[in-house]
Amino acid sequence: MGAIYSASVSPDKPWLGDRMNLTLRCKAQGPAPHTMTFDHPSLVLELATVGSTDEPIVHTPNQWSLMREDGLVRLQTNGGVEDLKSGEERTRTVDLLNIFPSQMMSVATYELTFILEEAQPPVRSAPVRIEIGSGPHSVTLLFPFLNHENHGLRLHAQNLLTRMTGQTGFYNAEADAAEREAGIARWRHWWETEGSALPWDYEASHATMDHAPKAPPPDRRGKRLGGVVYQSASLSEAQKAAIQALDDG
Amino acid sequence: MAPPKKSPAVPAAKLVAITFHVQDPISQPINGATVELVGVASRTTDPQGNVTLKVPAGTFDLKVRKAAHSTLPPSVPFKDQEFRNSTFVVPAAGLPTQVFTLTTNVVFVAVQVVDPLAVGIPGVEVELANLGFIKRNTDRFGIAMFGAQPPGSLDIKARKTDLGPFPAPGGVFTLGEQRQPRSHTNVGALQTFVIEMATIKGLTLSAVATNPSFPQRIFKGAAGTTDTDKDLTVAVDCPAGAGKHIPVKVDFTFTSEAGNAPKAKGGKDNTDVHFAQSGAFAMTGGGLTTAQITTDAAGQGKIVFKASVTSGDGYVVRAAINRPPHDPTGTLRGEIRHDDKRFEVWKRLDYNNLFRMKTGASIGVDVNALCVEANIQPAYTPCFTEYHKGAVHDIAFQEFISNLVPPTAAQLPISSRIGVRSNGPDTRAVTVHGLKVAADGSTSVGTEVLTLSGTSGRSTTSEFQRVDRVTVAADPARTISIDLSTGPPIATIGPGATSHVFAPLLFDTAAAVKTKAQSWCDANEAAVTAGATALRTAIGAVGFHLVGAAFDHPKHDGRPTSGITTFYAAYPTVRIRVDQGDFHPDAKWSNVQGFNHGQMSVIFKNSSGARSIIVARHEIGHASDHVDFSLPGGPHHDTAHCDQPSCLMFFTGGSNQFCTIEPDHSIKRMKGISR
Repeated sequence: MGAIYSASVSPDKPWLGDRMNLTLRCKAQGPAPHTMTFDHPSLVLELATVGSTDEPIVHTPNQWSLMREDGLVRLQTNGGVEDLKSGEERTRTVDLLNIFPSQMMSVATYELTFILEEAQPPVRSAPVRIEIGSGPHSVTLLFPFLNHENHGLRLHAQNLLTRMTGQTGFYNAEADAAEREAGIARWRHWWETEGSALPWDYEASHATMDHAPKAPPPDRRGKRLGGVVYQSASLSEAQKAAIQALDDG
Repeated sequence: MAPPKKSPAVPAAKLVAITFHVQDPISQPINGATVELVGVASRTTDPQGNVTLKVPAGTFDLKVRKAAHSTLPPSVPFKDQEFRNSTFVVPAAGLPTQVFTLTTNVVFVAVQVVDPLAVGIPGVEVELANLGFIKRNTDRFGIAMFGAQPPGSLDIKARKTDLGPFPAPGGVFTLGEQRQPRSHTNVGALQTFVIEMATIKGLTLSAVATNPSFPQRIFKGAAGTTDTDKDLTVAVDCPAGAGKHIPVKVDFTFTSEAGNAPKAKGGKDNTDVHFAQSGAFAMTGGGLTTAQITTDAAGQGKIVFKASVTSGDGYVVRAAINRPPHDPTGTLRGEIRHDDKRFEVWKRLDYNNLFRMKTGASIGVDVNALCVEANIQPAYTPCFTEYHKGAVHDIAFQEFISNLVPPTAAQLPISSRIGVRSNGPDTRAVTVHGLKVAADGSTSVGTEVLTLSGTSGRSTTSEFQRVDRVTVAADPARTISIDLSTGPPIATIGPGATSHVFAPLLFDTAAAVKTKAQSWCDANEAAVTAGATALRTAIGAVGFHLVGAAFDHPKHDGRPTSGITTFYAAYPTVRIRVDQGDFHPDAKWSNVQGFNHGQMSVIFKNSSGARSIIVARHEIGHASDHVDFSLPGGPHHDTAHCDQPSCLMFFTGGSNQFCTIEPDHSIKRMKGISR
């Protein structure tokens, strides 16, 4: 009798802006001596973009580095091999945003697989599909990232929100924390009082003007970034120019 | 009366029909020419030049004539001249058609326009300028027929779009008509004048591919170069004869692709030089966005295209033969020919700093196999960097960077001998149970038996790090005192008792032992550092280099049994600090799969497959041609590493790929795009 390995991601239908957790499970089906668990250094997470031939992104969560006076040392966990009793389970939860930030903050579909490279025989889980959808709901979810400690993620969230809302004047990712908070509050207020009332085009890749979007998908989850639809008559010339500039990416 | 006498019958002569055909020198029929068999028959030819005479067989005087015509060759000066054959025999069996050629006072003029390889050029307009501007277009053989023309001088002009006159030796191709005066004096003959014109038959732009599998790739030179130079060759087929070509002016331009790096980020714009002279091919045009050269007698020209040094930048270079520089009238526009070539700027990363510990069958991480292109290139392709593995250098194998350094006496816990004595005559055997210390400081669970000698003290020969109990056979009258071989008793075994059990008995404090063990650990870590320094010095490599070693240290190798010690076994709760982790000093310490020491990166055999590839890619990334991955003063250590934890170039090696998160975006830094 051995152990059964599995993986799941929650939420199972994530929105752009959701924090996503990967849970790894290993459950003994009977006495399972020398079972490789998720503390083993050879644990690998592999994220592939569905439909892409690009090399999957690989992360090794049980391996890290430290700076020492004389340089840098690369470390990995000790252990990760256990004698499990029947029914005994080991789990490991991973915050996917921390290890795959740009991917988890993109509207795309991925397959995530975990591998225990040194298990005999090697363990390779069935891939877990992650379909990240977008819609007006994602605008609200993205606001907290505007104050993320990672400057890169702040800029990324700002870019996404700018593309979705067409708004550029509320927030500066380079500002200090207090100013960023104020900017977030302004942007959020605009969204709650004005932006969320605008029509939403689920098939657009950014905010647009002067057209009637198609009916939303039944689950109101878009497979593209989407964006609000303005009537240009209600916009200043500068606002119109800002939205037109979104066409250039 | 007698009937009249018949005279004998004279048979009628049998007539033979002879057809005569009279034509001009180019086989056109002559109408109205007289054919006469003197004294027998005379008639003129019909419009087809034919006439048939019926005459008896015999020999006749034949004359063929027409006014203003002469037989061939005509006399000079031209005068009428008939054909005559006074012994023209007409056999009874007849004759085939008899053909005679007469000519007027003309030359039959044809012009053939050919290229310098004598290949006819069709569609050329040929004009005889002094003969009423007669114009004809050449046929597929390059021939224009002008028929009968009075003898004299001809002013022949030939012209066609994008053709030019055949230049004088050393001359350059120009557009325009070919004009040649000729004399036509062969009266009555077909005189063909051959006119050579210069024609451009082809233009090809080429470059020798650095990587034949990807001919569009052009490679930046050494770090610090300001341009990516590529030698271009243009071949213009404008023949001047066998193996020779007419020099042609060739214009070079280029188109930058939309995604190219802007000048402010390290790219180039139209104020930068993009073309430079190659060898003896003098360049005009400034070289910023345009340049011009003239091909040589071999039909070739060379120029240097100077792309940006930002990998991933794309260009389409055009070599064109434009009409304006070849048009003396200055009125023509557009291209005669062009050829385009697309180029991508790449960087080449030749990694030659691979070192592998190998002595006989003993081998460290096989970096020669680890660093093959298949393992490394996928991360570098999005950066437009072409990786090539160099030869591995084998160095002496050593199992560890540093072996285990044993603790000094001062680093070991205090241990003690155990003494016993009785309070009267007594010869019993007393057994001391505990953790015995060997000469090297290691410990083991054991006993030592002491035989009492009455009130005289007896002491163990072994040092004990820990004493668990002292046992003895019961004696109703005697008390045994236990001491530390000197000093006052620390316990007793009273009359009738058989043992004293300690708590256990230790001779040092956990706090003190922690300090000693940490000191021992630090000595071992220092030994690893010294070993790394020695290794780096021995290798003597310049720049970033990767070393495939076996293991760091017995305590750090991740293997379950190596490096396990017993020096501090009596103190199981003591923890030392190693690499930010807490470990019992006798247990395995941090699991070190590699380290960086200066520009030396060492990778050990306890590193897993995926991780090894990440490490190799990361270290090779340091040796790549890039701009700093982060700004000075960033959150993570230095500008040699990216600030994004998910990036290959994060100081820990966050993943197998370069990040694309702004503003760090290591792919851009790899390309050479500055912030």
